[in-house]
Amino acid sequence: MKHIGLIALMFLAGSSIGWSEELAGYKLVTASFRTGNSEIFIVDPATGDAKNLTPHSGSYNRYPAWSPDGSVVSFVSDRDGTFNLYVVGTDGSHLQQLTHEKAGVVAGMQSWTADGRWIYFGLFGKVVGERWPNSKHGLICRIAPDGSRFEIVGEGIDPAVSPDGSTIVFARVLSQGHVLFAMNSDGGQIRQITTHEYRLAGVHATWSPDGKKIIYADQVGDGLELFMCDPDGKDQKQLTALGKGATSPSVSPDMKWISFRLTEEIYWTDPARSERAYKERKADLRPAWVMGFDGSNPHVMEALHYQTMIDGSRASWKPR
Amino acid sequence: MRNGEEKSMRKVAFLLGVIVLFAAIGWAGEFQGSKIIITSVVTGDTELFVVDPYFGDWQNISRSPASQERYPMWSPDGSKVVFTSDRDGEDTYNVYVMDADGSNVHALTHVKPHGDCYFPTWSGNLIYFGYDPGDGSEAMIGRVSQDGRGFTLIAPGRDPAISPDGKTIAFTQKVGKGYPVFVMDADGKNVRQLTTHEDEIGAVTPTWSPDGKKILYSDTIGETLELFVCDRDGKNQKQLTHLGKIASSPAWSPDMKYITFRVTDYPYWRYPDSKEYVYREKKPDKRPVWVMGADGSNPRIIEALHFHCALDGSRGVWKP
Repeated sequence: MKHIGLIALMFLAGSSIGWSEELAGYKLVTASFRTGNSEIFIVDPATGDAKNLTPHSGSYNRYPAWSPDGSVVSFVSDRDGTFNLYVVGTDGSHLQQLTHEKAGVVAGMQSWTADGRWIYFGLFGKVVGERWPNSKHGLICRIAPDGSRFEIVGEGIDPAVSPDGSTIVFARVLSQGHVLFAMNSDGGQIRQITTHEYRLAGVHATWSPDGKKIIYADQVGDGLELFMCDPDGKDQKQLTALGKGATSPSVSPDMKWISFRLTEEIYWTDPARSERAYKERKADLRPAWVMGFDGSNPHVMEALHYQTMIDGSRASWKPR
Repeated sequence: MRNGEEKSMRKVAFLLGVIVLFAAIGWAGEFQGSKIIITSVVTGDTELFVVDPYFGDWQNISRSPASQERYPMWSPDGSKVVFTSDRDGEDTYNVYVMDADGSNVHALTHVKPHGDCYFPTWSGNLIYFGYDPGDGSEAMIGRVSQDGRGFTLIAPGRDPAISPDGKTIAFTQKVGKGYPVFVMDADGKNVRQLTTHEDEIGAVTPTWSPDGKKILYSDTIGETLELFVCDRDGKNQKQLTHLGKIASSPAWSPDMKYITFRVTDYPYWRYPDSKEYVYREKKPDKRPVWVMGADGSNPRIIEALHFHCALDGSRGVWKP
């Protein structure tokens, strides 16, 4: 009997657990495939409550982002043939499609201005060459939350607008890889704010709610770690040292916490590995983690441990 | 959007479509409108959650991080939930009742320190439960009314379940090397042994079908535990699962089309060291809730109940 017990202990050993009573009162929105499809869920990290905002749409839903008053979530869904931008109330009502792109064009990576007037997002695919000559990146666009006033403001990937709406940070590929750029919200005054060019992508920068810091991913060894810098690129500081794929950060409204996703494997740089990841949809390889704003005490958020974020979706904190 | 991720996304677009379609077919709306109550360790302690297996919504209805909550069971009309908790004293589990939204909690029993009430089931206005006195004396089957009056220890036995008509208790008790299924009248008289095989692993957990005509239970096949069904007189015994694992704690859907049950790799409750380890570590990925047709067909995990479920023998119980 003794040895049976020991064998049991061996195969019961597995992932470690970090609990989150410290996160009482917060809510996060993320993409989860806990129903079998990838859907948008609001999750309470302390109570474990979870609410599906896109119940069985029969489509793939991802990249959720809160409106600044927390009443609306924008996301992209392929329910209309390709990935278009949608908004939905946080009670699941008032679903509205904002963009009407056709196959071959993909929308993603939205962020809102603090006044709620604009959603900035990326468009990728064949649209790039058609609408922005000589472009080799994606298009950075904006649209009003009612679907009006669509504009292309520049070229790049992973756009994130500052809370005051004045500045967009984004990534471009230079000769040796990705770096972080910024520009004005009208597309003017493009400036490079980091210098390290790297091949792993996943830059996916975000702003702190006070607009004073940018958090982004950069390559360290074979992994991706999260960094923080000022909006002009100064005062760069490494926040994580986990040796895996740390990406898609989000800062809590009180600036106490940073959530991020941590992948065991950086599969998106290789089409075959990416295809396998999407096909297998393994539930335990992409947990959402949380750490202090200074990078202290990184650990899994148990309520977002499994079935989350096969794509680059953030676990985004609800504004207060 | 990551460059590499974007490229690979287009390549796997068709594949993704196939996967999403497959997942949708796998679910096919069969659980739409269902609710299942479970215990979960997602918050770090054990809490009771009402889960929508179709939408993936989770609602924490016990919200008591200072105590452990277990063994939830619906009232016959689904408006209330009975469960056990150690909130009035560590290592002592009493029976509580609350409204299905988690309000109006009150204790129904006040057993001696180290006493353990478990597996409450409900018929009419009476709740039947298992009771381990915790002092080495014999395990008993108890009863209390839903207003907390009339606490009675009826007869020796374990894992009781009251029939829907309130007339018959299915239970188990040790005979020779293990635990067969018994029934007796609700007053403890007229004990009859229904099965003859002595289940050495335990976790017999007999369960009545909603129409009161069938009893589900677990029995050993070699070193594994499989689910069986028989008539209320013990006739027509039929093995439903052939998983070669530890299948226990079954529950019928109200329309009797489906059976949920939990599957573990190992009967950790048999040995004090493995039981202590499992309760201490609370590994979240070892006790998924499965579902199958009532005839044992097509057993598979319910994805929304894949992780964080039930350390103890708590069932995933369908709302009536």
